[in-house]
Amino acid sequence: MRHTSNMIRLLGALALLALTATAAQAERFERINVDLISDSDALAPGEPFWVGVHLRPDEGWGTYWRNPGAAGLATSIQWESSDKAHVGGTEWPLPDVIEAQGVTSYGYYRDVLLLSRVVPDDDLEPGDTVSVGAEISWAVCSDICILGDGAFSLELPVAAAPAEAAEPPRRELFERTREQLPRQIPEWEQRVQVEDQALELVLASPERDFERAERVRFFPYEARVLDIDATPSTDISADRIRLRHALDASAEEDVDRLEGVLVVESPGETRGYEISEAVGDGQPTVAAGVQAGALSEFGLLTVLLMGVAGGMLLNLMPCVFPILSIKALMIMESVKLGDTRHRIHAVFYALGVISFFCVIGGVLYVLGQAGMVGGWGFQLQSPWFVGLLAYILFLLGLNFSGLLSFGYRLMGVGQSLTESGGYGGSYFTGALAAVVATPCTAPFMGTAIAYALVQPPVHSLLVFIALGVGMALPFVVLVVVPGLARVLPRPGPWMTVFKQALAFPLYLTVIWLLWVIGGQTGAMGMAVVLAGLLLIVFVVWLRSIETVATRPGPRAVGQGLAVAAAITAVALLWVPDAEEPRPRGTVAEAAAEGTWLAYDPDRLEALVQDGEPVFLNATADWCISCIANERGALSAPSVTKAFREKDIVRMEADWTRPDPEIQALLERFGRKGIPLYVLFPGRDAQGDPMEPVVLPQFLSPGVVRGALENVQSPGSND
Amino acid sequence: MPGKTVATMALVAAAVLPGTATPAGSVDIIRYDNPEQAPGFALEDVTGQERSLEDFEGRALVVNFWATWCAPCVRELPALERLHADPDGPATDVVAIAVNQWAVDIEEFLEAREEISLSFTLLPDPDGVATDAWAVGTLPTTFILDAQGRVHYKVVGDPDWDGDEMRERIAGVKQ
Repeated sequence: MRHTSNMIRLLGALALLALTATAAQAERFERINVDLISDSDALAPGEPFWVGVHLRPDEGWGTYWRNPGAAGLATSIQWESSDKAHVGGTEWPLPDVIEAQGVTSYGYYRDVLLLSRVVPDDDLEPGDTVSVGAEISWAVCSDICILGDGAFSLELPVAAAPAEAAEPPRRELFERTREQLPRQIPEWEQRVQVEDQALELVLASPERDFERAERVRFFPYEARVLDIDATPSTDISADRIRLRHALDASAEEDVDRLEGVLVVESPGETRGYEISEAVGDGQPTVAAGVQAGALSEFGLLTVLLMGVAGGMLLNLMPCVFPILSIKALMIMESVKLGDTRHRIHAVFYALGVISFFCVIGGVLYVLGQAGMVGGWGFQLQSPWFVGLLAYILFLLGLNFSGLLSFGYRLMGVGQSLTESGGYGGSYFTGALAAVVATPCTAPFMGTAIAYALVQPPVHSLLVFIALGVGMALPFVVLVVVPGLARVLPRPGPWMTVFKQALAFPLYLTVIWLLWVIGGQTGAMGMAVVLAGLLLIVFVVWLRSIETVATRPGPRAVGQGLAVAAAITAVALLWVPDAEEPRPRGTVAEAAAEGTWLAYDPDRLEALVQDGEPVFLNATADWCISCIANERGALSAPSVTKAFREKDIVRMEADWTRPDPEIQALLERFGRKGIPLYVLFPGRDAQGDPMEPVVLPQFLSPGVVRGALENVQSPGSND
Repeated sequence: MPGKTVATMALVAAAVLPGTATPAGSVDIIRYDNPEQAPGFALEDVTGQERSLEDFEGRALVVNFWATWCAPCVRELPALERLHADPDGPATDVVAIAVNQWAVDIEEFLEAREEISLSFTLLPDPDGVATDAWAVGTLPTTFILDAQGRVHYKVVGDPDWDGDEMRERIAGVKQ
């Protein structure tokens, strides 16, 4: 009982608060209450806040949106502020369609808050006040329209940070209203075209945002673009919206741009997406992102060629090279033995490579559709994948060392070409080569993948096939072109020694992968994977003594143990947890040396605003090219000297584990993977800010120094 | 009982079906028992010709304040046209003053709405001079003047201009 009465009292108090909060400035006009309110009672220097014109018409009366439609007058607001703050333009929540007497208009037959974002100056001090003013004129309509206008102002005191938020009802009103503002479209495909006096808009969301969408409607910003009384035809699927709307009879034949809001209604949720798109020839473009937009300028063919080139470069990666060498040796052997099937083997090898890239492409696409962020190298953010890769490379190393020979059942890597049924072996060699190539991002590949992921599935698949073709190409050419294989050294007993020697780079790669896991999950995760490796050795040993055990009993026990150990080894991969905190590897080291700052978007923004030159390095422990660039170019004495002389702030974004802020950074520069190097050069000689420069993915000290030359040296009096 | 039911149904119908044969909106008709001289106007019409209230003296005059964006205003334009053009009607001139709008706004509007054809005088009031002088804050607002330019009625909203009631009122001011 007491609870109830307390509850009633609380509700009463809240209601009173709501009244006093929202009615503080309210002024009663004919048929409408109007006031100017803010989401903060006191503001902090430099901290943005929101103000809003609260229009509350009587029941059955309404005001209009920025484009009022066939009838109506948009509410007009002239924002003003004291010279200590900057007030943005009016931001309009999503409108309703108002159908009255056969006339369609857009507006609000309900309360609405028209927003504006205010940024107070940094140098304000507690005790100062900031005033925000609004001159408002409106038409409030039902069967008649009443014109009204008024001038309002708010005086807000400056408090020491943080800003003082308004009471809950008012703050929540602002929060709710902000959710009703149109959103910027993420990196989605959008397309606008005009055909048969109708406008067609296609919007594709890789995140399946439209899964529950029931209704869509487009609200143009300009009047008389679309035939407002026509009913649009729509076609909605989970990842794609197609809307067709008849043009207004008075619309220019050559509508060249479509601007407005696409409103998508789902049960319990209505979202608006801001569309600003040139009317094109039906070719899709990619929204948002400085460079992603530029990507659309590449034709599909160009991107496919870049994919092939990037794939070819993967062959030079340290992790791929041993496997390829072995395969080449086998081919030489087969040629020596007069085997004529080597061309078929080459085809199977190529198919193996391409299959893996198709799988990766599919996984990336599905992850993107499911709203999980994917990018090249994302696999290596999962400790279990890194662990699995360590196992595979360890097994390969054992094989190369001659301690283990795989049957065809497993991988067929050791399968001789001269034996029958070896095509499967070639296929798996291809797939394996592609698997171990994933840590090595070659130039062009990042661009090709960024392009692929925002394309329709068929195009996307083509790009990944191109990567596979590129990677398989050198090998296939070597085998298929007569005479080329003869250039290679003659086969002989030296090959066994060579193969055993190649095991050592593989073991080294395993150590590197263990280090990556250590970085991701700490010493515990590393120990667990090491235990898994030990179990693998145990299985190898059990198999070697099988030949000694002649009786079926002990033999069965040995086999059972081997299977159990193998399963345990695989199960161990799920133990390390990437979510555990870890020391921030290279960042921590760098910070200790006092050279690299950890990436912080706000800090970067502040530095760029101040005209400070910044060199940004997006890297990860598992990214070989990144580490190679850091060791070879970024730590080169001549480069570090240039960094110091030019007073360049060095910032490192460590993507060893998933990080949405770094993901956003990559997307801003149109990348899906790392490395990414960006130089923000600060100001030029005239003091004007310069555009950021993206450096190549393979760095040499010369490349970096060349880029840094554009940065102005700090003045001699500094 | 049945009478009450019918009345209720009519009320519901009026609320649910606004703007059918009889306008359902609130129409406010003010009758001035001691008509005073209208404030007057001097505006260029859509053809650029200067027009003032004096030009229309000698006949009853309907002065309508409207805007192209105002749905109820647009709705009553055809009825005003019938009032103006009907040979059996109360023989009145009609002047429609477009509040805060330019000649080009009216031209664009007439182009877009081909079904609306108007033969009476259209006066844009871009600076709102006449609108302010007549103290109009609600659209549509219509004044009914006698032949001497005195205001007999102020009508706020969209009445049934085709109905006998309004026509008799207009006919009444002519005397």
